[in-house]
Amino acid sequence: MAQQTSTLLPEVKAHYGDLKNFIGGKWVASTATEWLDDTNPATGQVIARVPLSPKEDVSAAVASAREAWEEWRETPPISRGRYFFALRDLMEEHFEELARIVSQDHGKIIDEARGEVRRAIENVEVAAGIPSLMMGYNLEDGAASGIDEEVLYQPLGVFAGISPFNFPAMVQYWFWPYAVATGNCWVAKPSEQDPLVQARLFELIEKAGFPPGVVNLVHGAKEAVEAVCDHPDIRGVSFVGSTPIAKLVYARAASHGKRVQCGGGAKNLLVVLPDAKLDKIVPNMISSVYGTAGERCLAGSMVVGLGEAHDPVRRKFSDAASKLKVGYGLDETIQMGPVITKKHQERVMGYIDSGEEQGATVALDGRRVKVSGYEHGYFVGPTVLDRVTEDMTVAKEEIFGPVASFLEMGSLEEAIEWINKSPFGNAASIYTSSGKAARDFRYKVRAGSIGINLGIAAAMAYFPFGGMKNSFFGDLHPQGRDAIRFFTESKVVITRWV
Amino acid sequence: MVSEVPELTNFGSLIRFALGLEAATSTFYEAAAALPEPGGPPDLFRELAAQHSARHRLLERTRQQKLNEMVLEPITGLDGRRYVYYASVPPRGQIGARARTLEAVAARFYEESSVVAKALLTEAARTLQRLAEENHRNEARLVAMA
Repeated sequence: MAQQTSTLLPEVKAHYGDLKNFIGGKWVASTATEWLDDTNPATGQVIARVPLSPKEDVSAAVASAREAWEEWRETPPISRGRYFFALRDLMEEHFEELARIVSQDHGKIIDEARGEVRRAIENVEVAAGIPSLMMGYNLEDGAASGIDEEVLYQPLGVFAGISPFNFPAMVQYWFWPYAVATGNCWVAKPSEQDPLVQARLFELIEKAGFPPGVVNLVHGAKEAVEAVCDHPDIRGVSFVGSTPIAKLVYARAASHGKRVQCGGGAKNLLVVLPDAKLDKIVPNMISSVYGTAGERCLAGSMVVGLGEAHDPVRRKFSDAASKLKVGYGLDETIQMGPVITKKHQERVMGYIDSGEEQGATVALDGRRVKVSGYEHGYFVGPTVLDRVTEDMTVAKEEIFGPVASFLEMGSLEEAIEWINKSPFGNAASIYTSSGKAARDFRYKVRAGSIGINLGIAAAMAYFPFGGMKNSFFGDLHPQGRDAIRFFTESKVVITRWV
Repeated sequence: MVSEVPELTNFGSLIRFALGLEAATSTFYEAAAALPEPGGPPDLFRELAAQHSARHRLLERTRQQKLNEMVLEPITGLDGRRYVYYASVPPRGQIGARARTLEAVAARFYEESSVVAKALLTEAARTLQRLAEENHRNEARLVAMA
């Protein structure tokens, strides 16, 4: 008899109750009159209620952050860094719990959730080294003989971060560790669709001992976002979401004189050359397209097998995609979870319908997927659309779901031109054995992240992460040196002793 | 009881199988040590139960801290049928042989998976190799006891 071990990991809690804001070092009830049900996308069950905090709650958080700021900015960088060491240890201690909350609330499979929590921790680890990262520079006799010149990097005050549903743990951590380590204070507004892991992370932030007011949490939606954009005491805003909203946030916050960095949508192309090693690359392409059920800004969305590569790539890809096991992410044997909400499920299916109506061939249809035991979950199975042409809606708009659209093109130049014509510029990947082709691709393509034989080119914490064109609005990307520059302003001091 | 044939298609599934193997092996030694007639030195069985428990913790830490982005990286070349194991406690006269087989299967699994891991996960590969060496030492001790 085979040894039957349960592969379904336990949920941390069945229900998380009514969520509270964290303001000035205290958990406080929101003054919201409207609440949103937070559902587990695999079961459709309500697992928490999220307050849609009004602008008064945002103002209270900003006031608390503003009050904390003077003392925090005078805390030496090395001392500020120590809070991050403490937080890092707590995150490691609660690693598995955090990952399970992500999986339960967002729907992604547990290994993806673990990867996401790891990414968040890595940003904390990098920010802990803030004394080295934040150093300025100087030059003796830089202005003239006996006149020295130096540059200092100084914090600005209060920043706020608005993050999306697709990486509920990680995206806030692209921002706030750098903002706070450089001496600013922070107001976080996580996605109202899956805020549970941020609520838990804030309990760890509290336990790590950050001074009251330095890091604040406000749950909410549109009104809270608008309040963040408009508040005169917020000096800068970090945002990730869809392109239309990114554009709105960028314009509105910038109109109030704030620094803004806004990540938007994507339409990423995977280009396969005839010399690519299909057996090695197809699993990587599958992971790119269907990882996190396609709800990633770096997800491969369009696949181009150049010339003779098209048919074998499409066949092998469809075959591998058809074998993916769809289900609840907390089941360790599952390879793809649900999408975030019922509404999003309908939206993704609508895109598949539109592709079919406009002439694409549905080579693998995920619309009728059934997951036994999870009949109320928001599942869309792996889908492959073939013979997609550039005039089709599925070739132009971000689907944000487990759908691969195959296009036929004759040359690498044509593929590069297609990518560069797209209004999006988040990521693009090439699969090839040719160094020359890879070099041409990375040189010419206008996208913020380039993958060479890699379908998800996700920058590590010490590199900047972000796109170009309508995939990013702003100047400096999250993470890496860009983050340090975004959260500080430079001051030049010229000194002459007489 | 026999384990299922594992599908070792990425590093996540590899570590998951290893965690199951260590948990089952630890339980096996605990159960054997607790028998009125354990079919071997109970102290050694207790020691090995504790050792496999510690290895389980080490693997959890490895998954948490060393796999990073590679957790979902596809892997090929590991045939799950080679690592099917029997972890139930057999009649007294066969306990030692069952223990030796468990250690041998584990050694084979860790040796072969460390080779697969080497190109992408040097630190994890070192851990897997270390576990294989420990399995060989355990097997030798069990042979000496027989």
